Amino acid sequence: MSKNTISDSEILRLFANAQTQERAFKALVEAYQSRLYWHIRQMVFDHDDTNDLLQTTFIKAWQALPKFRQDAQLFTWLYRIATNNCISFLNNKRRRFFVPMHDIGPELAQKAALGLSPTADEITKKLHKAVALLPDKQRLVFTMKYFQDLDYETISAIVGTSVGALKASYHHAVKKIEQSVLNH
Amino acid sequence: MNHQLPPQYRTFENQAQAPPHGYFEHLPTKLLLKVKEENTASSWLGLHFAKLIGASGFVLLLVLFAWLFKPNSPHESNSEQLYQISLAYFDPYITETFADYLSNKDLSAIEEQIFNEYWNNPADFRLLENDLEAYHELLF
Repeated sequence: MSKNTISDSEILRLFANAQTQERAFKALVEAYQSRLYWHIRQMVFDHDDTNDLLQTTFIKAWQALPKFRQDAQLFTWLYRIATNNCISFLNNKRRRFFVPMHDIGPELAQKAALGLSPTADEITKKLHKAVALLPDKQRLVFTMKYFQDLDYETISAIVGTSVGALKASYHHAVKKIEQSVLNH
Repeated sequence: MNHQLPPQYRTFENQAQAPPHGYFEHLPTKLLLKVKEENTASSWLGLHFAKLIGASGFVLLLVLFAWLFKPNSPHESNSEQLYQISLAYFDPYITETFADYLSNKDLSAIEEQIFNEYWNNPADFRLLENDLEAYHELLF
């Protein structure tokens, strides 16, 4: 939850009623749009792609919310939808023009550089380039841990990977970034 | 890594360009309109799906009836009429020969012409007789 005063359980209760469904959806978007936006942006870097993926995420949430089981947190569930959208989007980009799995790392690195603030310093530029060149899974784990400061249990619930495997991914990501920042 | 970089590097939002001004203010309303549109579209599809199926079935039924009860083409009915007329006007041998010729799918230009002229002037039997005579001369 961010600035919104409506709790997750209240959003779900309002959504269950057809009369208040739209109000609930608006509250849901207001509550999570910013966090999901930056989560997606850290994966695809470009604002336009982020905007498309964010909208798709919320539309999917609207469609699937009646089937939402309350054993998961709304936040974790939305993050999972957004993450899966990002992974599918990046995989589709790799398979574009029917050429199987071409490397989109340089393209992402370029977008990361273009998406930086004009005041960004040299370390920031190097850091973002190195993050963009990571494999998707490592980038996902790294950004969720490093930038979003999520704990491994939450990341595990979102990406469906064991905590041990996440720690290994994070460790590999950090090593690669260190190497990249120091060597360039 | 966490301990090597100062804390400001851990805030992605501060390092990246912000989304366009007012983006987060307008997104909830924009998305609400989108889902409403989608709802309308899906309910329209739901309501009209049966109608679409029904209409397609009706069209298919019409096509089937048209195919089952299709009238003979001008060429076919003309051939049949020519055969009947030739039966009435000429001796059986010629009629038979003419009928055999008509059954040949590779119709000559003259034959086509007779058919066309007769079809355009169905009452002009004289013309038809002349043509048939000419035709007979050509054949024998």
